[in-house]
Amino acid sequence: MLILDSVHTYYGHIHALKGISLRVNEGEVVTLIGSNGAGKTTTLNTISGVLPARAGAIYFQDSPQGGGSSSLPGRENGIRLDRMPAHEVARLGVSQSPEGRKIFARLSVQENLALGAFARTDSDGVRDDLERVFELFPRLKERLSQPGGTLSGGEQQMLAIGRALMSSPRILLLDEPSMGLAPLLVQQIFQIIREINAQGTTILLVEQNAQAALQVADRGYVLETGNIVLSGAADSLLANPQVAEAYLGI
Amino acid sequence: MALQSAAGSIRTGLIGFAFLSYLILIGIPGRIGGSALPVLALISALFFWLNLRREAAHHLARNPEQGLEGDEGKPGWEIGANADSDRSSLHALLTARPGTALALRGLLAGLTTGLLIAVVSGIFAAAMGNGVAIQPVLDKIVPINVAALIGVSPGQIVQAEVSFIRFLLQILLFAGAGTLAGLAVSAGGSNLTTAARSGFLAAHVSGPTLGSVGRFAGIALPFVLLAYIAWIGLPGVTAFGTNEGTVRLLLTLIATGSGLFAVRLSRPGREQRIVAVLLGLGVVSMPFILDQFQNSVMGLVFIFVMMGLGLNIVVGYAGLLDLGYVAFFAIGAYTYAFLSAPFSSPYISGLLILMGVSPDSPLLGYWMALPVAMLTAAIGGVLLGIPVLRLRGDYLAIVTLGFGEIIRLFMLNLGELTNGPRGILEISQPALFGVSPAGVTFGLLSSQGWIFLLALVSSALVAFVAIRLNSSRLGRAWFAMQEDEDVAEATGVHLVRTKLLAFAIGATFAGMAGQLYAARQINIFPENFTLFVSIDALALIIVGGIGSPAGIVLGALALKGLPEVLRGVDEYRIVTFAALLVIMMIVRPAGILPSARRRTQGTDPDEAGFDDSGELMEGLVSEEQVAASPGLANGKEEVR
Repeated sequence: MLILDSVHTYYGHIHALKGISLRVNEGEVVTLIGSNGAGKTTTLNTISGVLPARAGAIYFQDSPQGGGSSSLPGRENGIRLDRMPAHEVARLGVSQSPEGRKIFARLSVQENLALGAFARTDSDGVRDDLERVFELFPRLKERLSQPGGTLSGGEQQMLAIGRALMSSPRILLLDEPSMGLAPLLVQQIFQIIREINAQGTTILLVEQNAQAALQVADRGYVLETGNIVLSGAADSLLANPQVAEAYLGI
Repeated sequence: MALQSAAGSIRTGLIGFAFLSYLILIGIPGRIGGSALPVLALISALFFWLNLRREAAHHLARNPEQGLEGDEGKPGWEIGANADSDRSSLHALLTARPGTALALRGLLAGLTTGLLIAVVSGIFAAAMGNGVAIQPVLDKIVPINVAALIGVSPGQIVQAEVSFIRFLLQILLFAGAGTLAGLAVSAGGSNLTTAARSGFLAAHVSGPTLGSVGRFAGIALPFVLLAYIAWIGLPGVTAFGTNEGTVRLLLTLIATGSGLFAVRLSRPGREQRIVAVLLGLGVVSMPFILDQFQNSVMGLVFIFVMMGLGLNIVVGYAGLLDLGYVAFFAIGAYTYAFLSAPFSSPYISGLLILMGVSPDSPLLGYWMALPVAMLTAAIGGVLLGIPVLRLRGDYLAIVTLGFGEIIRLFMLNLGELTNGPRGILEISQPALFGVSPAGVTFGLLSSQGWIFLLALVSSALVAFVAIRLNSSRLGRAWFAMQEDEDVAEATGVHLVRTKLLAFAIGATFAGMAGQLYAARQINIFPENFTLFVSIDALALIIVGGIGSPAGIVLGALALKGLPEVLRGVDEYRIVTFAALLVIMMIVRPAGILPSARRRTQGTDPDEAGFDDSGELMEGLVSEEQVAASPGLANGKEEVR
C-alpha cells in the first residue's frame, strides 16, 4: 500500500535520507528502528509531505478491497506522494502522529480531535470514529473540554494517536509513541497499537524502543545514518545477533 | 446592643461629616472641581472603612469569645488546639449574619454624613441664591466649595436651582460609600484579622452574598451610568482641569466598557441576552445624546474596534504578527476617497470611463463604495499574504511592517493618483436613501453622531462575524496553524488557503474601518496612515486580550478613548497613559478580558516558563519553542 523507492531527503546541504526503499503492505504493522539521527522521523516526515523528497518516489495505493500481501500495488497504479503538499497527503488517508506528540496545547481535547477530522466531510463517519477513539482511550472522553496542554504525557500521546485516527486513515504513521512514558504506559500504548491494527489500519511505526516495536510488528527495517541496513520479518530481526547487540541492549 | 451599634454608626457618620467639613473649609472641593462630590464620597468611604475596621478589631479584642459577627469562633491560633472547632464553626455558620450588620452600619454612617452634607450645602446654596451675604472671610471659599458640591459652576450658583435630585444624589453617594466600606470590612475580614477565625468565617460565608451583590452592582453600573449621561447630564462638572464634555466622555467610555463586564457577569441564558440587548440599546442611543466632540471620539474608538477585530483574526486567531495593518486601513480609506471626493486622478477617471461610468463626482455613495473598499482591501491582504506565506514570527513582522510603509509612501508619492501630501479633500458623507440622517433628525444626530452610529453598527457586524469565525472550522484551522504549522498541515489544513483567508478577512475589516475613517475625517492625507496606526491597533488587542472580541472593545476604549479624556492633564498625558499601560500589563498580563483560550495558558505546562513577560511576545516565543524542540521542527530553517 505504501512504497518508498530510493528516497533522498536533505536538510539544506545535509543528506539525511540516502536512498530509502521500503514497502508497507495492507494490514501490516511495519516498524522502522534505528539509533538517534538515523533518519526515522525524517522518513515519516518525507512520507507525510512535511519535508520534500529531493529524489526518489513514494507511491501510495488505497485499495480497501485488497488486503494481504498478495495484492501488492504496482508502482504504475499507485499515487505519487512525493511533491504533493502535506495537507493533500493527509486527505488521502496517510495520517501522522508526530514525535513528541505535538498536540495543540491550547486547544481543548475535543478541538484537537475535531482537527484530526479536519479534512473530512462525512459527519456520521466522524461521529463513529470519535466513538472508536473514546473506546480505545476512555480517558480522553473524561477530559473533552480540557486544554490539551494540561494532559499528562501519556494522555497527550493518547490524544495524538486519537487525533491521527480521527482522519480515518488508511495508514497510520506513528512516531515514537513510547517517548517519555512510564514502562506501564508504554505497554498500554503498544497494546492499543495492536488493537488499532486489528481493526484494519495499516501502521508504520517508528521506535527507539526496538524490542517493544519488533514484538508488535510484522516486519521491520533497521535504519543507520540514512540507509536501510537490514530488513526482514520482525521475529528474525529480534533473533538477529547484530540487531540484538546494537538496539536491543542484550 | 443594636441601639448601641447604631449610635456608634451615627457617631462615625458625624465624625466623617466633621472631617469633610474641614476639607470643605480649606477649599479642597473647589480645587478638585466639579467632580468633588464623588471624590469626597470616595474619601469618606476610605474613612468609614478605616473606622469600621478599627471598631471591628476593637470589638473582637474585647469579646474574643463572641467574635465579629457574634459567633463563637476562637482566635485563630487556637484552631489547631480546639477540639470542638467543627461544632463551633457549624454553629458560627448558622448564626453569623454575613456582613449584613457591618454593611448596615456603614450605610447608616454614610447616610448621616450624606444627609448633613446635603443639608449644609443646600442651606448655603439657598442662602446665596437668595442673596444672603456670607461672612467676608468665607465669601471666597464657600461659594466655590458649595458649587462644587452641588455640581454647578460658582458663577451659576446665584441662579442655581438647588434641585432635589442633587441632594438625593449627594445622600446616595455617601450612603453607597458607607455600605461599600462596611462590605469591604466584612469581606476583608479574612486578610485583616486572620487571627480571628470569626472574621474568617464571616468572610467565608459572606463570600457568595458579596459575590451576588458585586454581580448585581456590576450589571447595574453601566445602566446607571448610561441613564446618568442621558438624563441628568453633567452641567458644570469638571475634573483635573477638563471640561464637562470630557467628563461625560469618560463616563461614556466607562459605561460602554463596564457594559461588557456586565454581560459577562450576568448569568448565561436569558438574563445575559436581556442585559446584552438593553445595553446595546443604551449604547446605540448614545450617538443621539452626546455632543459633536464626544461623538467624534467614540466614533474613532469604534473604528478602531473594527480594526482590532480584523487584526485579531490575523494575529490572535492565525498567529501571524502583522505590523503593517495600517496598509489595509489606508487602502479602504483611499478607495472610498477616490470614489466619493471631487478630486479625481486621470487614472481613476480613465478606469471609470472604461467601465462605462461617468467620472463626475461623487461617483459612488457610501454603501455602493463599501463592497469596493472591502474588496480592494481584501485584494491588498492577499497581495501581502502571498510573498510572506513562508515567513514566520519576527521575519513576518518585519516584512509586514515594510508593507505598511510602502502603501503610505505610495500615497505620498504617487501624486497623480493620490494627490500626494495634499491629500484628498471633501470626501462625501454617508447617507441613507440619499439623505444624511445628520441633517434631518432635528439636531438629534450630529454629523459625528451619525459616524459613531455607523461605527457601532459596523463593529457589531464585524464582531458577530469574528465570533462566529472563532468557533468555525476555519477558526479551528487558524488556531491549529498558530499552534504548529507542520502538524496542522499534516492533519489536512491547507496552509496557503488558510493563511491567505486570514490576511484577506483581516484586511476586509480594516478596509471597512478605513472607509468609515475617511468619511469621519472628510479630508485624508498620507500622514493619517503611519506606522502608529498599526501599533495602536496591535496594542489595543494586546491590552484588551488577544483573541477576545470583548477585550478588543475594552482595549479600544482604553487606548483610543482615554487619551482624549486625559487631554486635561496635557503635559502628563502620554506619561500617565504609559503608566496605566504598564500597570495594566503587570496586573492582567493576558489583557483586560482575555479569551478563554488564553486564560488556560497559565496551566499549560509547555508554556509555564513564558508566563507573564512571554505573553506580549506571543508569536515570537512560540516560534522559538518550535525551533528548539526536536522532531517535526527539524530543519525548519532550511525548509524556509
